[in-house]
Amino acid sequence: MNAQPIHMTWKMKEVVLTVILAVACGVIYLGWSTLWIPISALVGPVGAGFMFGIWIIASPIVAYIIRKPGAALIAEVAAAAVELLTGSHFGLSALLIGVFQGIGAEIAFALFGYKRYNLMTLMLSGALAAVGGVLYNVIANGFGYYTTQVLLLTLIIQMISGMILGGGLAKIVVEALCKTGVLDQYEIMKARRKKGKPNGIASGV
Amino acid sequence: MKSNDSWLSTLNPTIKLVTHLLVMCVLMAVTDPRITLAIWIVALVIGLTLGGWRIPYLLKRLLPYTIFFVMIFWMMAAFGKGEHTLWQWGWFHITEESLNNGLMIALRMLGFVTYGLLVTSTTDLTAMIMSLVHQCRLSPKWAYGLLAGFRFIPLFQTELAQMKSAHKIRGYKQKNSWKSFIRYALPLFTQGIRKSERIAIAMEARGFTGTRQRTYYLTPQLTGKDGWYCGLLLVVVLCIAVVLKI
Repeated sequence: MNAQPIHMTWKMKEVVLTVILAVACGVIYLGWSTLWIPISALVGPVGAGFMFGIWIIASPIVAYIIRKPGAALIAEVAAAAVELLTGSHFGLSALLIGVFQGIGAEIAFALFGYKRYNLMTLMLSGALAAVGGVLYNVIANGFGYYTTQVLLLTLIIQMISGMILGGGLAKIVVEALCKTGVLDQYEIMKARRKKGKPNGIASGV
Repeated sequence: MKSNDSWLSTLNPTIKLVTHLLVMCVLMAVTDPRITLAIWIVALVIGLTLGGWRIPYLLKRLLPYTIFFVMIFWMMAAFGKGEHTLWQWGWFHITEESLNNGLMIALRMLGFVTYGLLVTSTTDLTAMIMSLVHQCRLSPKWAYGLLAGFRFIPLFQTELAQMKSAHKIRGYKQKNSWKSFIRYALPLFTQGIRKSERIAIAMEARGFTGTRQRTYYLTPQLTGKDGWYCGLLLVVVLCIAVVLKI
């Protein structure tokens, strides 16, 4: 029925690529956490939600390139581990929130049987990662104590931010990476070559 | 993540991680600031006795957090729900309930930070990953892949700083927008992808297949004291939660 079976076994280079891209994202996140709390103290969790999207970009980027079950979750957890390893203040809680966001992002790709990788699924993964993040915050960081309007508004803004800054930006970044040619040997370009779009730049930008 | 030479560092890393995550789960379930405070003090006592923390080290690690403490407290207090209004100005709305919740959440975050620090300050990264291989059946392919990848954190940090200064010296005004994100992320990622490919080839060229049938330099084991530490800590924390609730 399906022309392209999903490959479950990971090649070594895919494993290392996932970890290294996640680590690179994690390094970029580092500056973000310290920026986050002062802003949220001033404008509340609602306003700070606008910045949220960048925090989950590891999942869509890696999943879009590797296209395997589990890629989104592993990428986000590994990116969160960077905060743990560099001795950030958030330590284990950063790892936990990474797991929640990663599961959220993973669901988006699982819903389509790991076969659809386009702007729509990337944005959906950003939005669902936001849901996962808010869920963790309700359980652990007492977001449930905010007034209902504040909580709903936070959720909606983080979902939008996750869609645009997470999913949308991931798409732009990966398309730019494709043009450089470094991804030629990975699943994303292989799939495009199969479709007969050798340089893959024209598709869906 | 580096180990020190305390008693806590001799425990099995996986057990230590799981135990502290469980304590954090207890902290999540607790809604009374007094209980949260008591559980946090347990972490401090463990750190100072078994964890090999010195007072100056503790202050150095926790002092920056006091700013966060105040901010989280403020956030909960000013944006939380409640009936009895104490003070209102602009969009800030402080009530008795939100003040209480703010204190509890800020203390809980402090607890998370301290329990997290107990793990990270006494565990070696390599031992942690190897323990995950032996105790949690993590595949060696992922274990060594992760170890190789985490090696690049300091390198990427310097590269990012370098790129930022290179942009600055050429007069690039850093706007906090997605455009500046791409500017820095793209070179970081392309270099990263090239490096990852070389590492993977190097590993395979040296005969690394990622199967379980291989020898290990480190084989962390479970011992009796791991069970004792896990059990005792959980009993103490649960007792605090139950006793102070009455």
